[in-house]
Amino acid sequence: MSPTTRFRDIMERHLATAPEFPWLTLISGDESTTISIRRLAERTYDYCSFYRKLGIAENDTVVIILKESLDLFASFFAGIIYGALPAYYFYPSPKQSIELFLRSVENLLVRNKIKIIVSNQEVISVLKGHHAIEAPHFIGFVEYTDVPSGNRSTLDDVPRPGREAFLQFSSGTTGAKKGVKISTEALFNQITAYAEFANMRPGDKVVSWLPHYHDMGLIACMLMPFVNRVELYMLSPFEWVKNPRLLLDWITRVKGTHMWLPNFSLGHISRSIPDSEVGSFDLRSLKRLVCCSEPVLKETVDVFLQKFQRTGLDPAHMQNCFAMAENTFAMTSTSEGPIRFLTADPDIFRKEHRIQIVPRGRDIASAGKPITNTEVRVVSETGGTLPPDAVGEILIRSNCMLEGYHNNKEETNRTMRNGWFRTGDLGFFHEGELYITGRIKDMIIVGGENIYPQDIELILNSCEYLLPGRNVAFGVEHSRTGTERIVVLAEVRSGQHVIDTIPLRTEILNVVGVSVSQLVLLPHMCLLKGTAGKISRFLNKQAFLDGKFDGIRLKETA
Amino acid sequence: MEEKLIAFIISDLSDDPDLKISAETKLISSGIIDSFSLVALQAFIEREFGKNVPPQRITPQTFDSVRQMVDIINEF
Repeated sequence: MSPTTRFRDIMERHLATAPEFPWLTLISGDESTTISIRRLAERTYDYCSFYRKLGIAENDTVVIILKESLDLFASFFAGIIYGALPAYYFYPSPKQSIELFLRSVENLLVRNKIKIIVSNQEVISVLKGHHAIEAPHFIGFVEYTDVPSGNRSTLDDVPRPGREAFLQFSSGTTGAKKGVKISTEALFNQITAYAEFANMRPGDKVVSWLPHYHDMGLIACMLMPFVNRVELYMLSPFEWVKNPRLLLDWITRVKGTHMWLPNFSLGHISRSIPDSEVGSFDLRSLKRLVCCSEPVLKETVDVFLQKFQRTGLDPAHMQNCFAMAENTFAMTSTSEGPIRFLTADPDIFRKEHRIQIVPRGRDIASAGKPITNTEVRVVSETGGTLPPDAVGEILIRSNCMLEGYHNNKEETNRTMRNGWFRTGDLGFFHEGELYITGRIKDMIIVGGENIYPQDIELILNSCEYLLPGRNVAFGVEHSRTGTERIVVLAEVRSGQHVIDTIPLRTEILNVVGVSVSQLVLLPHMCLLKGTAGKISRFLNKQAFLDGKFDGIRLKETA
Repeated sequence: MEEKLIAFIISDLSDDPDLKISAETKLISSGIIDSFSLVALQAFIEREFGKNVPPQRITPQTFDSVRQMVDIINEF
């Protein structure tokens, strides 16, 4: 079969060769709906016709805010095939601030010149009621039920666009969403390069709960399985968070072969499923369990592997992957596992920004080697390439990189230097493998020492009176010392009113080597989440500086 | 004396106005204040109580709590 860089060709080939292939299964509670290639193609072609009728032009941005459904896929696939720039945006959670959602959509409309938003009545009514949703390019909302079904099976009357591409909105703060523009050439280059690590073959089955508006969910768990014609079983992220065993249930049921997920979800699964229920799962079929999107923690992996070893899960099939939307998805990956960790001297790491291997110290996970056609460098602040074991900013260059940030030349120019992309991540090479240590923007610098907030948050997570995962650490300018001071915001478990924080402060000082300047205890559900659904260091820092937590913080005792 | 020391630590050396400490609270070993603060403490003690405590008696180990500080100040 001749190679192609057109998503349209892939759709037409699948339709011609395997129309009844049960590509997509949407799972909701105890029910599931399976959608064939034929049905998906028909609905995709419906959307192509509709976009044409609306007068959508090539490169017009189409934003899709839908729950997991046939239309979620069809509207996006149609956008690519039609030559528009489709982009997913997150579906608002009942727990998230409506105000935050509205502000973020408003910013999106203005910055990214959105033409239409495809959504449902529930979301559209909220957005329509907000007076500020106005932007010159925006022509209106499309309710998915208004897209007529024509049972089309060809695109004969839909012309081929000059090129195909889509947008991924990078996770970030409200009002700072960047549209990462990815061509289908880049997409296919990524799929080809990552294939060696993903090892996706006919007959494989991907089981996923990941949101489609993140690169891991979109690329690894949607577009890659489609291009490779590998079955996809999709859970709603909201449902999975409440019932994490669903993921393992379905892997067991269908003999799932591939799963991608961030580190925190391993911990969520381990904590949520009682030991007594572990025997009900059979994970022998899994040939790839890929951790991605955030640093992998040794303790989380060890607990998970120990807990689920009797399911037949093979640690050798766990991988770690360094990925971001700006490279379509994967940049580096480990190959056969288990995931390797090195142990670094924490003092040298913090003070001298380099690695010295020691028997006991800070565990850092390998993210493996660059995938084919992706080059990776670690550079100093002045841009010079650093030797192995020295920590610096990670730069990449590849054939699956972004074309640029949509309507944002300034940001594009800021992050691209002589063909290299500045990831904003910190890391180092050791024996040819890349290790990620954190984000530059999150780094706290105290007296010249680099303090990673996640090191403090790890200790907070294991404090008995604090809620794990519901805390942030960040630095604020300290005029008295001329450096930064550390502020911690942490939510307290219900029922805990009076707390002595001295042992916690002492542990942070002993383990991380820094003093906590302010330890602000808060009731549950006070911390702010970003649009990615994660507790945001940036938003909470801003709220803290604005005094928003002053009236609600809990008092501690001495 | 304890109350004045506690008030000074909270207002001038700590960055947390809501901090609650007692005379027994471990201050330096818990990170509430750092060892740089000892210089400011020495100046405050001389200014407020008229006591000149020698620097070699003011260390992170000997000045870790207000109780310890008072005991040493009263030696002079």
